Amino acid sequence: MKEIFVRLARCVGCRQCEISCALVHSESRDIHQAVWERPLPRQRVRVTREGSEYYPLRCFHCEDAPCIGACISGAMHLDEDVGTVACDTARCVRCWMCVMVCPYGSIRIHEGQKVALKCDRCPDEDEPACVRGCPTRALLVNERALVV
Amino acid sequence: MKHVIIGGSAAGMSCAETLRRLDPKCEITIISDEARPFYSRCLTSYYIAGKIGERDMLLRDPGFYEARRLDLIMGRKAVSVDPRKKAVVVDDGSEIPYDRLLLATGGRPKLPDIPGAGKRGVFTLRTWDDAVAISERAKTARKAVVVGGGLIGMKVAGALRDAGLEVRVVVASGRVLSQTLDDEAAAIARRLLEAHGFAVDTRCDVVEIEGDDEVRQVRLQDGRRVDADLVVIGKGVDPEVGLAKACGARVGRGIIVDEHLKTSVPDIHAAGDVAEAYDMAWGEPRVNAMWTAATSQGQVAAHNMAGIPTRYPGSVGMNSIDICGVPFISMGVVSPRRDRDGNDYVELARRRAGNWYRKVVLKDRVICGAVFAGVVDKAGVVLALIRARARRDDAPERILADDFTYATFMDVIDEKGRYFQEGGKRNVQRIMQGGY
Repeated sequence: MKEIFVRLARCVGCRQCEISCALVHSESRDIHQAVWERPLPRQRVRVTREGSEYYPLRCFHCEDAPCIGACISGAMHLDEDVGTVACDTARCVRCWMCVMVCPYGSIRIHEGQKVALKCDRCPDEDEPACVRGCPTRALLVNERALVV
Repeated sequence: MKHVIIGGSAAGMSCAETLRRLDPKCEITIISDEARPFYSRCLTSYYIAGKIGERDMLLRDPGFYEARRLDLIMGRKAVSVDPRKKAVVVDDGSEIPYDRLLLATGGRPKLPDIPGAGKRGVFTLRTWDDAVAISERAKTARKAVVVGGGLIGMKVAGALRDAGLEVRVVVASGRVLSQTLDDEAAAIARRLLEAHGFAVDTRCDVVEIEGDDEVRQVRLQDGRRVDADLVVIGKGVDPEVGLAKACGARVGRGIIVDEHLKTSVPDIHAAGDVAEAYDMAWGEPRVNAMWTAATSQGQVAAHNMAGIPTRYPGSVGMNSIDICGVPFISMGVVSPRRDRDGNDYVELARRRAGNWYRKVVLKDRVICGAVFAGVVDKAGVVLALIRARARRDDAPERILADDFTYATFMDVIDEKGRYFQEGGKRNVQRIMQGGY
């Protein structure tokens, strides 16, 4: 099963992953048009600086995901085919239980649509947008068995 | 091995599913007194509001029970447990033997002694059937009175308002959500409610429900009479401990369980809203009636029932509620009093423009509670910090300044956090070490 990995030492905090993520989740998928979309396309990965290091934080698609156990509507679920924690936004009732329990702070409220917003690991792309957009290859995707 | 589970909601179902995963061969029987397959109890208010339909209430596909060979007995009540014979007696007279038993009997709405509470149009809200009855009534009703300003009261008040009714909330204590929020956050909630057209009476109670067969008006403590054709009583929930008591299990407020969620009676476990299990924020056993605690307790109980000794790390009482479009989250110790040893808790709070409010509660310089209003993003990081019981002296300031992420507290959360099970730990290593 493929996963996204981070080589922290390579992250320079350019936030290109954030832009790529927001763009791939926009209507137009064109950066010049996407900036005019309302609600504004949102990124699911956020680069944060702590001390001298940058951390691109996103959903880790936990094996034992607290958000799934906390979800009262069945929106948050394990997609067994691809091994991701997926949110069926049509079923999301905006209770924010997932926001309350995610230890990584990786689920946020989409200000415009008011649904739980999280990494979907780009199911329709060959390669997740954040990985594709990372100019230093700090983000990469690989089989878990090869890395951990 | 034959497992019997009494209660078919969050705790019972997560136990059943986990048992099946751990042991493909065992027998699993679930006895539920509701004539419904597994649905989300927390969605009942959304159902009343008309925001979701029948299909969305159900949390599993049809055929789920068969596919996992779960024997579901619906609409039947377990009337007694014989721990010597190791059998459960059901209300149709049948006897179901067990090797391991789970009591996941949940709770029952408190019914205060209000004269007239038996009239038509007066409800409590716990089950889907309750929700169906309330929404049926709401179709013709115009004015609703909600008795109680707790979570259920607030959720049902919001739902009835969404359904087009005029809503009055009558609260005995001095603020809404008194068990969930602190004074400041509750004041924000109240302002929002009033700005959105709810009538809110605090330090007040309904002393009589008047009308012939049907409710027509309610009489308040201060003598006022207000028209009402729908009344919902939400004065809290009592753990359903009858079965446990009768079979000799130790009972406090809920069924007392050890760290493996075993009751004092051999081979009987308890989980969910009925269990009085360890609370990590208070450092003592408490009944934390929450969906998320029920799910994880069900999983832990299943491991122990299947013979895989597993410790329950404890829960943190918490809740998330949306008031008129503004999110509120509270967790752990929210409105502290002096503890048993006479030590004080420290409360640090910050208020910003709009509905932004945040508070952290510390004991011995360790965060044991928090309140968020307006912006609740990253609340889960604070929960992880509470669960880790880790001391980080910069934590309160950074949380109040909204200048933190998971990375800020990564070291203490991971080092001391018992939150993470195997999967989580690997996730952390993955980001820390960053692959090859």
